[in-house]
Amino acid sequence: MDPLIYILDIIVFVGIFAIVALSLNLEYGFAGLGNFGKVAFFLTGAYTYALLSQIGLPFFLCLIIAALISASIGFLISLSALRLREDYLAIVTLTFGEILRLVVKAEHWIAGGVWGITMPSAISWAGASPRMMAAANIGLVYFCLILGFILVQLVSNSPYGRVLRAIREDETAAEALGKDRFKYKAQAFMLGSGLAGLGGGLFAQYLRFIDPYMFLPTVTFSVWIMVIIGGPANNWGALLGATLVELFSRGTRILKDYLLVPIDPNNLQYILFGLLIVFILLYRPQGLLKESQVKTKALEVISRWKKHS
Amino acid sequence: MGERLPLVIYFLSMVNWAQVLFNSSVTGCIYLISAVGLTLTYGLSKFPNFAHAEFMTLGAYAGYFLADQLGLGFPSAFVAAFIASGILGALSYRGIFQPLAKRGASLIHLMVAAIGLGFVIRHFVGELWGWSPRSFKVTWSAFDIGIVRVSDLWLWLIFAALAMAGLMHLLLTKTKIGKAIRGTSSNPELALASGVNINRVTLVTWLVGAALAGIAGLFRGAGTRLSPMLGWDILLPTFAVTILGGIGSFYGAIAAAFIIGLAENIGVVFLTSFGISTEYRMAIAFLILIITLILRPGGLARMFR
Amino acid sequence: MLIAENIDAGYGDVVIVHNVSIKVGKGETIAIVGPNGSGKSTLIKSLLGFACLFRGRVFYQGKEITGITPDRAVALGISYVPQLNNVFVNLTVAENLEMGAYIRKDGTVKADIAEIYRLFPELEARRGTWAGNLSGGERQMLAIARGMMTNPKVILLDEPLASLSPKSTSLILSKIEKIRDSGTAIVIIEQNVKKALDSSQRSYVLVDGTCVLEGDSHSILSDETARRRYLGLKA
Ligand SMILES: Nc1ncnc2c1ncn2[C@@H]1O[C@H](COP(=O)(O)OP(=O)(O)OP(=O)(O)O)[C@@H](O)[C@H]1O
Ligand SMILES: [Mg+2]
Repeated sequence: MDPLIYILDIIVFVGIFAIVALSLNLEYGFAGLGNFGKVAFFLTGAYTYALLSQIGLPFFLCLIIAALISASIGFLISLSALRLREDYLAIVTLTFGEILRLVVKAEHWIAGGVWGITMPSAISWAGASPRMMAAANIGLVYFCLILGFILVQLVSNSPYGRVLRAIREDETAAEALGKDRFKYKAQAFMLGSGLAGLGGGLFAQYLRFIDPYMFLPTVTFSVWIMVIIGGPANNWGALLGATLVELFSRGTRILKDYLLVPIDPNNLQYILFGLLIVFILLYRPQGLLKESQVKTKALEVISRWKKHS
Repeated sequence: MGERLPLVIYFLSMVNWAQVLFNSSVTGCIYLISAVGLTLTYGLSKFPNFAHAEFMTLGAYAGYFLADQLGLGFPSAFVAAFIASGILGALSYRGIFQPLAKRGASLIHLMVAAIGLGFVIRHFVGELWGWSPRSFKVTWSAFDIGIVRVSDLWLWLIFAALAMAGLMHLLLTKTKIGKAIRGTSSNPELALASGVNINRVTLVTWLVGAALAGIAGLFRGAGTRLSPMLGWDILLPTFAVTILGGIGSFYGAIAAAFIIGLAENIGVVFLTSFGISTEYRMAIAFLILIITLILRPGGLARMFR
Repeated sequence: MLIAENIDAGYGDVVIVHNVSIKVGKGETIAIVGPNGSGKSTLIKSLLGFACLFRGRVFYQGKEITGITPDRAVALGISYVPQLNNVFVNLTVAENLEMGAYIRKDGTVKADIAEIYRLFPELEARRGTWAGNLSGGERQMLAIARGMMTNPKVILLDEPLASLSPKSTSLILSKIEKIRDSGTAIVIIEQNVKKALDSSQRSYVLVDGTCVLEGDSHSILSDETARRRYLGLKA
């Protein structure tokens, strides 16, 4: 394989997963929500994109609708799920991801079931070489990433973002917000789901083929590693985490190709990922980069916010 | 749907309900054995251990290793599953979850660590035994009791579940450590004030719970096939049982296991009669889980303690 | 018996109790009174390791036990009955008592349970009931009984009379008196000042985490200024 294409391919994947990592960072890092079914929203985005592009919608519309549909599913879930205890939320979101995968797997009429679904190339022009195609994809993905990053950065550094953090830090103090507490959480969840959907759309767009086996819980887990390695509540950390995890997973595959280690690279990758996350949680639970802002006392933030609004 | 209705009714009238009932109790027995450990460790350590799935998987493969690969016969598989998973559970608690809790890890961190541990074990099993499914060499003889077709594996399973329930009942109500397990799970502070060594009690619970998970995995593997996803495939119903029964409640889990076993088997009958994929079997447990969380987050525990 | 000197205590890095000293002798009942949130529970909890002890020293039977953990405190003979959640709701009455005797290895547990049932016949009648199904008064009795089962030399009771009917209150008070008569030192936290002072020999009044008054219960009760200023009682 063309080594340049290989590198470009890595860059595209880093970009796509950076978007998903940012979305989880918004939910978990800033709002403290343990969404263990991230893959469900990634899947929603990917399948929405695939189905829409098959009926011939232009790619940017497909992407936008993918994000919107994902966001609305996030909203529906948040209506009931966000009132649940942390551990229940984790169990519910995790199993929701599995159920959704089950649906696209079992219902052949939706998108080919286990056989998956192919879609036309969104970005193509006469005489485009694979390298140029990859470069164009990078352009698209990073355009979305930058937009997403700016959005998340704006949200998290606004007074609004500080309220989110206050809710995360201190549930009792946040009770001063009353019912609004759920509203904030739901908004964060919706926005996060939308971003994850966008990532899924880009994923489908880039690969031009998806099947249910691409949406195993491993996806969710990888994204969690990205956020925790990078440092929750730090958007740069999410980018760093996405880069590291993607490089790491490529690294284990290269190891197989060049060093002939007698262990299956896929197994090796996830064994190392698992060990890595356990070690990080034990020895550096705050991740590589620190939280992007000084913590303020939850109650203060809330009371100031209430006075404001 | 309209033209299908007579077909559905015909189908339902042909169903051998005694068989469905028997199958339900078989399903319930597996879920019971797998959920006991989960509900007890969840009650004591206060987080859902997603790696419980892999405790089951490892048990199944450890049994397979001894029984088939070393050729020691199927009964030896029980010993292997019990010991291997039990040790794994104790090590997981001592090596990962207890230190994490001591460092004040958040609930979410504990859950992420559990998922991480699960990945390590699952892929380790995948590396050792490969990802393609395997089956036990033993064949189970099937025979009819009245109109119900049973296999001796299922009779063994029912026997094992009953024995386990009986022994656990004795452990939890008649022994000091058993009472301490129940007491600590509902009121750790008071247990401490009574002089209970909470760490030791929790360790014993993890050991026993994981060992039972290994047995559940073994039965699952013997009844279907072995794959590194074996435990993950029944983790959702196991969680549903745990939550419907009430976290930490052994007796609640017994009731819940059979309720979910029944719901799944009846559900499958209806799914097939309506021509819907039986893969949705899993969704039935999910549905019960969600309904429990919305209507009665404490589960059945209040009725059973 | 139990002496605490210059205690600063709280949770995390918040100091709630400032420089409080208390002591209780053998066969004595002392009361710690004060308004809501004044730090009474925090003070007691810090002695046993349930809350942070930032400064001060704790002595028990002449030996220093500063910074002890709860389970070791029980083993030494210091029993603690929490204010809330003071029974195992998912255990039966009998099992709750057995849990109280968890650390004991002597062969007299059975006899002690019989003894407890003599003191609390109400509990014997309900020995097989889940503690979660008891009435408020029965529950409070069980909590104290469980505390007694550790065979303590000192028992710390955190608001044993809270939210009880007048009838249960006097019942519990009489039980506490009996316990004292058996030689056990008692530290009782109470919001109901009158009852607490009536049933104790010495008292400490806590306000905002500091001890504003201490001394003989009777003289405090009869002291005009104390009644008005700290106890909220009519002169
Ligand atoms: N676990 C805890 N963590 C942090 N702060 C606490 C905790 N428990 C109590 N507090 C705070 O410590 C202060 C004193 O509480 P404490 O329970 O000691 O008061 P108290 O005198 O026992 O009151 P009450 O009569 O209501 O029982 C209160 O402001 C309370 O909010
Ligand atoms: Mg108190």
